[in-house]
Amino acid sequence: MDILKINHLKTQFHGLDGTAHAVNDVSLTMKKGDILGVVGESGSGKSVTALSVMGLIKPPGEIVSGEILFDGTDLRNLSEKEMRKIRGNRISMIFQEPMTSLNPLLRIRDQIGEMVMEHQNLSKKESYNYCVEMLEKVQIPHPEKRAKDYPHQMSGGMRQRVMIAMALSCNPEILIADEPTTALDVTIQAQVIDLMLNLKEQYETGILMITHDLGVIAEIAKQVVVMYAGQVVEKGDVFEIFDNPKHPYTSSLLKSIPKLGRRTQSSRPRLEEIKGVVPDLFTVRKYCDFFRRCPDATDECSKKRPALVNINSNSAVRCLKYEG
Amino acid sequence: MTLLKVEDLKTYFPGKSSIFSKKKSMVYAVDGVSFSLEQGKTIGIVGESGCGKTTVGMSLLNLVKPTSGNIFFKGKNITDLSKLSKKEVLNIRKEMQIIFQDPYSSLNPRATLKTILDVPMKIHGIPSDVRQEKIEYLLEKVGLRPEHASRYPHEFSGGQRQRIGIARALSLNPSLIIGDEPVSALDVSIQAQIINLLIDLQDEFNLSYIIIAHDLAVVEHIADTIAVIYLGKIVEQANFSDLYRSPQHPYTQTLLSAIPIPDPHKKRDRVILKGSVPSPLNPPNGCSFHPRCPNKKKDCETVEPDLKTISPGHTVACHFA
Repeated sequence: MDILKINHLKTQFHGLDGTAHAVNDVSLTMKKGDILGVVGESGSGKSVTALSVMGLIKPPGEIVSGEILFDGTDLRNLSEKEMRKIRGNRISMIFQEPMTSLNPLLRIRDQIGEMVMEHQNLSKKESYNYCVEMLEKVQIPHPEKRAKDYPHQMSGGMRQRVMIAMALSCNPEILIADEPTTALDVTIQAQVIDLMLNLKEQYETGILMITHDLGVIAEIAKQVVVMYAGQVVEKGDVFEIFDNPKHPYTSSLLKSIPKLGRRTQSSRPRLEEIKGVVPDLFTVRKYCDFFRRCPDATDECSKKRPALVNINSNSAVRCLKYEG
Repeated sequence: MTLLKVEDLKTYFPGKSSIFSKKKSMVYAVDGVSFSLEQGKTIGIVGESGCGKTTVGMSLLNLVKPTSGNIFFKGKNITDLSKLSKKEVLNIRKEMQIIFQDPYSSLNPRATLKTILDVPMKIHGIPSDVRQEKIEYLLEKVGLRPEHASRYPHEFSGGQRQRIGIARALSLNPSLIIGDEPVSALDVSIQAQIINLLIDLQDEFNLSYIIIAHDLAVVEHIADTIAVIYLGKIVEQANFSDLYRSPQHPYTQTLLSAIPIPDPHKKRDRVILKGSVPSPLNPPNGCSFHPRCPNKKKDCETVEPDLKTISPGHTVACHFA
């Protein structure tokens, strides 16, 4: 069953320099209890897609068109009051920077307690006990003591655990994780990923994993969506994306990262770089967004914008090579 | 030729303590680091945040003052620059340059690219016509266009700014460049460009690099030897292939196993460390890694392991290696 289905979402930001097409016609589907990985560089629109789902796009940003179907209902048609019942309760989000996304003036137990008091009608006392229980689940040592701490008394990894505890406290059906481990050290990252996978098993939560780290995607995702300049350029299951990437962007990206243990004794192989830079989002081009950086570009690519072509039931690619 | 030799480098910072307390607390940021670097070679320093890797770089350049230890650069002791004459200091500064992590905050926003590259050369007394030529040459070397010279830093992307940082470091023909996380702030597709550029420049100018990074994959790609640092101490040092193929210290092993591999067929059984890095304000007794170590024995809590050589060029600080 599809728990989340985004159809032709367009989110734009209106500024003095013009309109930024941050998310430009994005469609994706997530099955219940699945892990969907969204990869892309900064400015590819992955975080804006997540914020659009959460209903957190505020002016000058605007969702221009498209549908966000959650369990069959279009979230865009809900009032703010109805959205508040879903946000944090049935769909919750973990943000990248655990320091700035916790309220520095509230104790941990009040921050987690607020959520469950709002959504599950627990009393203050019950909410404290529940908070301790959640902290225990995310493996924070001495949860009774830690519940009384303020965010600044905790380390980065611990704060990210608190964020996870908070996000999972209402057993959401979807957990959106926006670069949840980017700010963390690798050993802590391993702990946090392991924890998320365990909790997913336990609660059957679907996870929308947004990251730029292809390693993290390979490790945990089942389905992968690759984004570039506000659009989906390729989607498919994780083995297909890594073994047989179709879009030139995906394959060059995979070739450009140094891999541990690849280097031979004698030489330092040159990494295959992607030349040029990410295109700006203010202009709508009449040609492929990746044209200027593409190793396989042809004349045709400079004249036509490719459409997303379905290869089979769950994979698709946006490249002229696969059109027609 | 040995370009740089570091012996038992220690850099402590005064910690927070009550004004009434007589006991002074210290942050042991770098606590006895030794290594040497040959001309034209690269050493990579890896570790988690707070392990002291940046402080090592800053101490080498005397941007923070080392507490004790010796730094020899081309045979000359440069641990305390205040003991050297002004001319000698200027010469050493010319020879050792740094590329900073954040390409946004390490360039003066009010200076054009031309000024940014010009000033260091002017200070070192290079005549103006030579400087002009050199600027054009440098821009071309790092893959920027000559017309970029009149632009300001905000007009460039992150990758381009990092190229400016590299051009600035190169402008005085240094023999050593310290790169403090030179690619970690960049996008994945840009990282490869900068890594390739660093390698090309090294081959061309016979530069020595000290690359400080937390990303082992990047370090393994460009470094000849790698030092793994934990709580201000080197726990293992080896050439890149030995470190990857036969890591001896349990910390190196967990660090390697914690890195997610971009290959979905390889879902490994990883060793997951408990807890996080202890505070350098109050480091544990004995082996500094023992509170997190999966194969800790009784001795580890009390006796600090020495760095011992297990094969040529491979040293480990662990009782059981």
